[in-house]
Amino acid sequence: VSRLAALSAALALGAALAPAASAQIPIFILDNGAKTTEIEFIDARVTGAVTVDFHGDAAAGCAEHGLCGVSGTVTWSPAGTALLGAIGFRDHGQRFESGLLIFAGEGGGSGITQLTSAHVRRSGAAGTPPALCSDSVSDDFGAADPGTQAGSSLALSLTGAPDGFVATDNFRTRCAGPAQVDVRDLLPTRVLSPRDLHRGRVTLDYSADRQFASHGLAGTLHSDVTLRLGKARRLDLGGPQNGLSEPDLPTHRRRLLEVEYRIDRVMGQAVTSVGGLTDPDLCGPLDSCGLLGTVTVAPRATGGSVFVDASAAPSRSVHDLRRAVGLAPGPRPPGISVFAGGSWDSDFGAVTSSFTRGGAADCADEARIAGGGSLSLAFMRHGVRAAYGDLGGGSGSGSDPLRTRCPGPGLADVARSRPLASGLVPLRAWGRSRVTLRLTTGAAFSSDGWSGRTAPDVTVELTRVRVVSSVRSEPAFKAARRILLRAVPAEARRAVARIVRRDWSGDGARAHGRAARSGAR
Amino acid sequence: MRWIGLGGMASAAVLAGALPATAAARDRQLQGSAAVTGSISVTWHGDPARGCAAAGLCGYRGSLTLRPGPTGDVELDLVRGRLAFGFLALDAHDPTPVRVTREPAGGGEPGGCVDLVGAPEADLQLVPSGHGRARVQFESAGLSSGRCAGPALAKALALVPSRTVSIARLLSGGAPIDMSGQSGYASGHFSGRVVSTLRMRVGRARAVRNEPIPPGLLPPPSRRPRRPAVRVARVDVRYGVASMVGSVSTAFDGLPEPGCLPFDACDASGTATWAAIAHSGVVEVSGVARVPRSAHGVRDALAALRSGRGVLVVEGLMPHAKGTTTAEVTRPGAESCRDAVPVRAPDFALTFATRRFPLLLGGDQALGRGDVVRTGCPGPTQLDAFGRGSLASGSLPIAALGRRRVELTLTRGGRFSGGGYAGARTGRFTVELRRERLTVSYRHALVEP
Repeated sequence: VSRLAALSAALALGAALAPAASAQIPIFILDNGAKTTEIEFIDARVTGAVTVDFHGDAAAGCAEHGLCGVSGTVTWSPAGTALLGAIGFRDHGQRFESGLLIFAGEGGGSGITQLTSAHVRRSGAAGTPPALCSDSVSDDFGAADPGTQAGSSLALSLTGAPDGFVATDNFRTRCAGPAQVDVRDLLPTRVLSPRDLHRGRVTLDYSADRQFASHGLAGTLHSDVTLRLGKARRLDLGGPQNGLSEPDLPTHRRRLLEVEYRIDRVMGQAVTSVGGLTDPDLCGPLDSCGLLGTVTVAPRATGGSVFVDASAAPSRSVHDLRRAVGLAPGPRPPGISVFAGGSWDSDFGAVTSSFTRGGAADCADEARIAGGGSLSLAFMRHGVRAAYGDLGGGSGSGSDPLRTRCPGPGLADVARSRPLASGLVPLRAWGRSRVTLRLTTGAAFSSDGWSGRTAPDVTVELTRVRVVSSVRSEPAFKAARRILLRAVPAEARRAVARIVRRDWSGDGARAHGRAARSGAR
Repeated sequence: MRWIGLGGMASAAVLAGALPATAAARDRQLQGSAAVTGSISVTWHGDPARGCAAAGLCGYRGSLTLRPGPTGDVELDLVRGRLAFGFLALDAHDPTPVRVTREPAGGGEPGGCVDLVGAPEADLQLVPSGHGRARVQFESAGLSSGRCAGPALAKALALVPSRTVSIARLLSGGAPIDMSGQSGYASGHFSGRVVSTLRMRVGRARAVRNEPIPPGLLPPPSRRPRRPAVRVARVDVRYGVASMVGSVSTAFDGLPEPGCLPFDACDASGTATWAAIAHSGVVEVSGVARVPRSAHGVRDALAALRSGRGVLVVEGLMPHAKGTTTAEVTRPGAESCRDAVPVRAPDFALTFATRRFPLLLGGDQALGRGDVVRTGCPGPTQLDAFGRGSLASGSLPIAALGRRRVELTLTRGGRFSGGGYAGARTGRFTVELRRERLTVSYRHALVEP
């Protein structure tokens, strides 16, 4: 069983709100693959914060990482309203529970659902005052994906499962500090019984005081976070009585062409050369003055999938749709929407940071790329723009492949205007059964405290595994939106709408692809 | 029964459309998009030449960088074929980080404040400059140093270069606008630089097709109501502000850790007082009340309102009111920060009432002219201390309406917590109003069930 249910829960809300995603509405796919029994929505209130005090520690290997003079505090605050969506379903006779905890922030239109701030001191040469890096990173979508769990209970942690759908590092800032993987296990996990899920009105205490030592840093984690769950609201997707069943919605007919590719291999690297800005007013607050270095992301994967879905009015021919996705020769015909993306769940690659300050070695670290990877694909008239490390115009959410324990810019800085790696693949290349995507286009960037340039050479090899054409009745998008709007609180709606709008070509597309695939089973 | 508001009637008249067909044909609204690159950075540091030492601000230096999203929305209003107004709205919805470091005089532990400020209204105004050209200038009401130490940024942001472009080229699309440039500035006890690398390329603008108004929203043409309308009296009273004197104060302390950490507010405490004085301004009060057929004259109209059978609308402005915010922030073992900045008074907020004659100074429903809590020192913002509500409010019994001279006392108290600080707020103003004009009119109005 995949994490289909959790993904679908997010997308059930999100797709209904995404302005451009009218072709597929995963909520209706949700109970096709596995037998979904119920969805519970529980409004929640989060209070408190998680604080990690850390310092370079010789026993933890700070000398090797250039972190011996570093000490500081990083605080993650998910406080505000939240929404827990819990999904129970059966697959091959076994009961599973999954869900998604969405942090919706304090509201007020700030767009901030969680905030991470760091203050990190670096002891200078003898007689000089310590330098300070201060940073805050806001996120307009915060969530914890508990993963799919056997049984009727749901074990819920604040950071979600290690390879969950939402692979955000909640402790990531531009300053040096521990990664979430270093402290994740210090936070407690609380179990919601079936009774809790059905009734709500329980308080989960995530308070903790624990010590850690890892990758050159040691310290303590303190949490006083509590999650107060309100009354649960059940949505039985299969039942006609709740107004959400498929027959209740108006539908329209569309001709669809669904093409699936297997990702055979992801390899190569994207090297980002970075340097602190020269203006002391700009580099000073981030302690990046005089820092020079590289951050090398080397993705490695041998699995995953890419989907390419074309849809048009039923009067259009299958040949037109095939031309639109490159399966038949000729330019892309107008009036056909193509929606595509890809993902891989596990990435065996690594990200390596290496910095010098004033010519002397500074921080060096290597970390595994967390949360897999995704590929955004934009089908244009004569070619397909493929990109890895694409923010899609947003900032700061999801897996950050540039994350190590060293200071430095994040993906939100480097890929704000251009993806980390991109390339234009001719449309005709998609007519072959094996497609090779070479992503060699990088870009210069200038961001908070840092500037630099990316030099990528990433290759993704695909094999086409399936082509399905059909004419289907699909629920009309606006009606679904209207009905679902009643089911979720405003802040959560806004939060989900943001991630779908922004990440539809990235993580959202990846999830959408899985949901769509599963729905076709 | 519910009164049909006067505003609703006016809207209906607008909806009915009164523009001549020829003029309307030449009046167009155009919309398009623009590809935007670059950013606007503002840096600052305490400047000894501007007296930062006396203010305890020499150890502070900071910056913010506004990074708009890659696309902006363009809107152009053409009246009789000429550009009347236009703007290019930047996608600046992501919060902008403000970073300020504090280096204590004589060494010691440095401090760092990071805040996230919104600039949802960041845009470029397109102002006709004659000869078929428009001046493009940056406007951002929302950018500030937040809770961190720093100058008022309006002066700095006004230095973002403006450019003049051909309107014809703007309309046809592809017009590049280069707003890049840099210059130094000085504001308060700070000086710094503004660096803009903002560049954009405006796409072709297309005419906006106005959706037809659904028939149900339009009043039936020239149909008279069959039922006789009720009789109402309308009273308009214009008061001049003879004087307004008072102040609002906040006393605050940094929250315990970790709440204080992002804002460098741990162990900090301080006060901020905004004192204001005004000897000019107006307060407009309009009231509508149902009256019997026999009612006439000022006395009957006022009596109807005073009986609580009507509704009052109150708003006012004091464009020449003067105010100064004085703040002091201390922290143990470190230099204190003292600063004073002029902040003009906000307007009196638009308020509705039935049985009282209210007056609200500032708040969401009033035009503000600056943050009355902030100075160059670090500290909470007006939004932290007062929320979206008024700075102070008060009311008189409605019987006072129409008197030649009224005096109101506006007050506000309470506590606040959030944004790195917690504290108490107090406010007290005395407002003396002198009646300048009182008009009464009677008419028939429709009622709806």
